[in-house]
Amino acid sequence: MAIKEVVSNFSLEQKEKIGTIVIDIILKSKKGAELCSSDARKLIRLWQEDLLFTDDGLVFLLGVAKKLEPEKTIEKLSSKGFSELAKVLEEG
Amino acid sequence: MVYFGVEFVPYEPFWKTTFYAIQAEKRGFDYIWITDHYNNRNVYVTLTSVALHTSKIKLGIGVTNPYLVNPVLTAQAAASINEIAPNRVVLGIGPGDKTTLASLGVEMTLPVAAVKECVLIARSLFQKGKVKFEGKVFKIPKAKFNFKVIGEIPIFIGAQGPQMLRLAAKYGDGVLINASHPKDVEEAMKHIAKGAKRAGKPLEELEIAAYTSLSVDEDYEKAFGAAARVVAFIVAGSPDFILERHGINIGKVNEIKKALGEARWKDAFSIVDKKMIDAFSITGTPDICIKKIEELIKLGVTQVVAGSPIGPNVRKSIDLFSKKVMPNFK
Repeated sequence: MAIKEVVSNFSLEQKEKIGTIVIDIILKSKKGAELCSSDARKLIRLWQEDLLFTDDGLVFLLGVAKKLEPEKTIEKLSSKGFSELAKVLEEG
Repeated sequence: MVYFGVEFVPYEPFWKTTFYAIQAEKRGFDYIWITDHYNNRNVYVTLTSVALHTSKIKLGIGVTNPYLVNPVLTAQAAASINEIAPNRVVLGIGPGDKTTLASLGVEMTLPVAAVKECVLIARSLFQKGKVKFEGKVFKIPKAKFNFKVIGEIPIFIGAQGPQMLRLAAKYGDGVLINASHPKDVEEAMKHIAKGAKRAGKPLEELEIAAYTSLSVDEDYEKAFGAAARVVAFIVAGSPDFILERHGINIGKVNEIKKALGEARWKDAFSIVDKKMIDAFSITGTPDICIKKIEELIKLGVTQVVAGSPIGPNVRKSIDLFSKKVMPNFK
C-alpha cells in the first residue's frame, strides 16, 4: 500500500498526532543541516500556509523524517500506535 | 500594554529558526529577536528568511555591536530588511561581548561612545537617508543612501551597566535589559529613569524589554533541566556583585566555571541550583512564569523576551507559553 493511501485513511485527529510526532523528530534532529534547500523551503511554505497536516503535507513530512532520522521515525510511530504506517514507511 | 517577544540564536539551520518564527507569529508573539554572533548564521540573512515568511511580527536585530560592522552598513542592512517588511524592523545595538571581540582581534574601545555614535549615525540614515558625522569613535565624512527608507525603524539599546542604561534611555526608542529577576530589573530601572529624566523624555515613551532566559513546561523538573544548561553559562559569566545580590554560593560558581572550562557539561549543569535558576531565568510551570512576569511588569517592563532555552521542547513551549501565559497579560 502506498504511504499516501495509508495516511488518507486516518482521522483528522490522528493526522494531527502523526504530524506532531514527526515534526518533533525533524526539529530535534541533529542532522537538520543535511536537509536539502528545496525540502527546507517546502517545509517552511507548508507550515506557513497551514498545510503540514494535510495528506500531502504529512507524506512530505514523513519523507523528510525518514531521510533525517529513519530509525527514530519508525520506532516512534510504532510505539505511538501507528505500526502500519511505520511498516509502510520502512518498506517504501 | 505588554508585548511578548521570543529570541533565537541562529546556531541551527535557517529553516528551523524560520519555522519557530512562523510559529511565534501564529501564536500571537509581537517580536522575534535574532542574536548577532559571528560564529552563528548571519542575523540579517536569518531575518530576511523570517521576513519573507511572516507578515506582522516585528523583526528585531538583537543585538548587534558597533565594532565588527561599520554603523552605515548596519543601517543599510536594517533598512534593506525594512524594505521587505516595512515598519517591522527594530535595530538593537549594544556594546557586544569583550571575549568574542577579542577572539577576532577587535578591541572594545569607548563602548558608551561607540554605541551612542552608532545610534546617531543609523538614525540619521533612517530619517534623512544621509549622514555626516564626527565623533570620538566614528568619522563619516559623507554617506548617502541611494534608496529611501520606508516608515520608521526604532532603535533599541542593549544595556547592562549604569552608564549604558542612562544612555539607552536618552538615545534609544527602547532599552533591552538582560535580566530575569525583579532585583536586577529594579536596579536597571533606577538608571533608566535617571537617563530619561536627564533627556526630558517621559519614561512611558520608552519601551523597556527584559531579555530573559525562559524555560516553561507543565513539568517543573523538565523546565529546570533545560534552564540549567543555559543558566550555568550565565552564572559563570556574571560578576561577583550580581552573584552576591542574589545570595549565590561563590564556591558552587567556581565549580561550574571549572567544569565548563574542562567541557564537563553534565557536571556543570548538575551544580546549578534553584537559587541560580530563580536569579537568572524565568523557569517553571506556566503559573510560576506568570507570577514572575507580573513582578517584572510592575517594575516597568513593557516587553518580555523569552530567550534560550524557551523550554525542553521549543515547539511545545512556544505553544504552552502562548496558550497559558500570554493571555494573562493581553
